[in-house]
Amino acid sequence: MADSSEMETESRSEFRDWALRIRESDRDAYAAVFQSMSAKLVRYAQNITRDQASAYDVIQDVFLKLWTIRDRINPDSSLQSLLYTMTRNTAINLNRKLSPMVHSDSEGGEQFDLADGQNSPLSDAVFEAKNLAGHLKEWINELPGRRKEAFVLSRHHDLSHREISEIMGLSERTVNTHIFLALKFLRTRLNALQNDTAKR
Amino acid sequence: MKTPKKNKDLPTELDELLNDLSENEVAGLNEVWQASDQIEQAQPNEAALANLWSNIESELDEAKPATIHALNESNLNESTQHEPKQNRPKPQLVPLRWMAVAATILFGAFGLSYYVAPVSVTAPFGETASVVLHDGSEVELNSGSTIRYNKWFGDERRIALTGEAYFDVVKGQKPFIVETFNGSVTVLGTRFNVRAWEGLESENTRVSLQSGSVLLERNAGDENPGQDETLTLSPGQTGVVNGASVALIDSDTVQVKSALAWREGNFFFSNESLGSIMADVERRYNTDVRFTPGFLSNRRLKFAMEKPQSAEAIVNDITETLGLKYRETSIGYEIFDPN
Repeated sequence: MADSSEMETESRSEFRDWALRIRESDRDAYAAVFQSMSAKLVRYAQNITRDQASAYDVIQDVFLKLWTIRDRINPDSSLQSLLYTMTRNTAINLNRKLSPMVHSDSEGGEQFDLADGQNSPLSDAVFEAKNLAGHLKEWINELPGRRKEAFVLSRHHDLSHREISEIMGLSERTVNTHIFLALKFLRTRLNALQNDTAKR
Repeated sequence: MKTPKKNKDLPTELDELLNDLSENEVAGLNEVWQASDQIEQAQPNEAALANLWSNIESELDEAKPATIHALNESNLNESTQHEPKQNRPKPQLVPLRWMAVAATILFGAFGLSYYVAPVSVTAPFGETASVVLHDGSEVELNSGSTIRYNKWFGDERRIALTGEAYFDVVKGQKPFIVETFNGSVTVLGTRFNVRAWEGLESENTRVSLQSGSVLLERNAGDENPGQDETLTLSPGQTGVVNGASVALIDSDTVQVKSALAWREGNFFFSNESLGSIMADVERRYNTDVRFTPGFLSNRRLKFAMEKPQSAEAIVNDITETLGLKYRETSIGYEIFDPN
């Protein structure tokens, strides 16, 4: 399988460097982290809040919070995991506050949802792919909440399973299983679709 | 700026699991892995992010002098204990409740090992709550339930439970112990549900084990020292501690599933008294249900409902099944026998 690419290792050491500098109240490093992470974190928050405006609020809170606790950042643990964890908690809490009844089953995983494709970034040129992508999106949304969340964090946020386990408070083994089973489920769905098409 | 990594390979962490598959099967999984990259959602737009950043910057600039002073001059212990409130950076946007629930996770992440204090977390009526303990174990609390524990566990991970909760315990050297009003459950790492409502007609502690292994123990009380009884449960089994004994009541995985239904917002009882079911309804929906005459509450039934819309949906369904009637009261519902 994949050997961890150099790019990945590079970005990890970059984050470590930023973490150390933020500890020393370096605003440039802080800005760099925002630059690098904010779009992803907004998307992640939106999966939980299901509303873009709230997602922006969440990320604002998270970054302000990061600054107030900067002297306690541990450079040896992943700054990315920390930001995702804070985002997750803040978003879940916002849900609870806004509608305690609807979101009463608290832990984010249960409510994790891929946003509607209303402003899908895909162009007509990839119509063929869009078709499959549309199906995949549907299928991913059928996954149990936590499995979906783990899968999306792995696939679309380039996080290691260790980081995902920290963010979601699961064991690494559980994360492995979630992602493996998610892939198997998607494969089964795709097979069924292909068989269907073949029959016609 | 980071360039997006497209067409990444399957995560290396999966290697071990993929070993057991044929080349074809792995190729199949790889295909969906690659294809699912296409469904990335719309990126937040640059202007909105720029706007967000300028909000953050202006918040920080306002709070700057006090912040730097407070956080740089003092060491950790002092800064948390003595730092005057007004020196805290201004943006108090993080709600207190978040602090309460997330403090455990956050402090765990920073390794603040100085903090030892009893913590109590309650899921209010009408809500459930979820807590990640500092060892990484998760607890989901059903409505109206409370757990108490020391944030920094000692030699044991000991939790006192009032009500009902689901535990996903991370394996560890220290035993994980859940104490209820009449018994205790000792585990080393497993998933299980504990239902222990004191004061119900069928007063007991009921433990449903999903995976792993647990030791169920009855506290005989001070009058009968040495009379404690124990029982070891295997996955799929349900054990109960009541006034007289510890007993295995079921080795049916369906029973375990029904014990876990509340976590998904479902109601599922395989043989429960009406009183006990309605007590759950009261807690879940923060309402009141009474019986006229009172003994109606002793009727036992099997009941399942997926994600009920309201307390009334349940009351309506159950009364219809049992040939009873109900009416609304000013605070909830009254169930009565029309015959």
